[in-house]
Amino acid sequence: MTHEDTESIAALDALGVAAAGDLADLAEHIASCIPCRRAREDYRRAVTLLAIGLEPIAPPTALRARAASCL
Amino acid sequence: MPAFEVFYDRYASTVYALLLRILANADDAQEVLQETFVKAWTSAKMFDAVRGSEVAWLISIARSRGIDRLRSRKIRYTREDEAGREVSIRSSFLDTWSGAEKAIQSEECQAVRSALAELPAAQRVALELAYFEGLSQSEIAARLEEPLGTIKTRMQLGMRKLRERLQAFQ
Repeated sequence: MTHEDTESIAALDALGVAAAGDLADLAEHIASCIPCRRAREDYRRAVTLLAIGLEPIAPPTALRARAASCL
Repeated sequence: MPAFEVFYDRYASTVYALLLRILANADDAQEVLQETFVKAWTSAKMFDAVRGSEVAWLISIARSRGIDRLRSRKIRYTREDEAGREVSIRSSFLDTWSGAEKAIQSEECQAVRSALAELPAAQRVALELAYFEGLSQSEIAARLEEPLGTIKTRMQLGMRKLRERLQAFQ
């Protein structure tokens, strides 16, 4: 598996759409390849920022106490 | 203020915005928001700072639960549709996020947001369907009536551009 192949799978994995069969190859490759491991981290960070980048919306105030009561 | 409330106040608006984007339904989003915070708080020992930030971890829990809820809702609606019935839509890690980190993250957010806006629409839509609706590549291809290979390429190109934009911050 080439670095380019691995990076492509890492990009799809961050979105949760990588083929199951590719994930084992990805894991094996990044275990010994620092640049590809970094690529996977970058892609994961990018999708997290897609969520953080949404305009924040405050939930109803009562929800906090409701959540706390479940602990 | 108790620690849980501090944790909740810090991230609730971000997580709620994500869940509303995924579920497009306030009741469902609020239920999943509650589940997400309870799950995160009660399994905080599972959090591994080496694997990512606390907000990334929280968002991954929220997204996963939001997508699960979305899928179960779709299955329910499909079953109701099939039955010909009327569908009725029911409507330690606390102090680690410094101001500087927030500012950097905000710049990164802005960069990703603008990079996303600048992507060709076809690439952006494919990424959004995967991330916010949890659709597989095949489902996206079917939804957009495009070949699977085309969808895969669009997603890879789109993600590569987002990554390139982020690399400016490293």
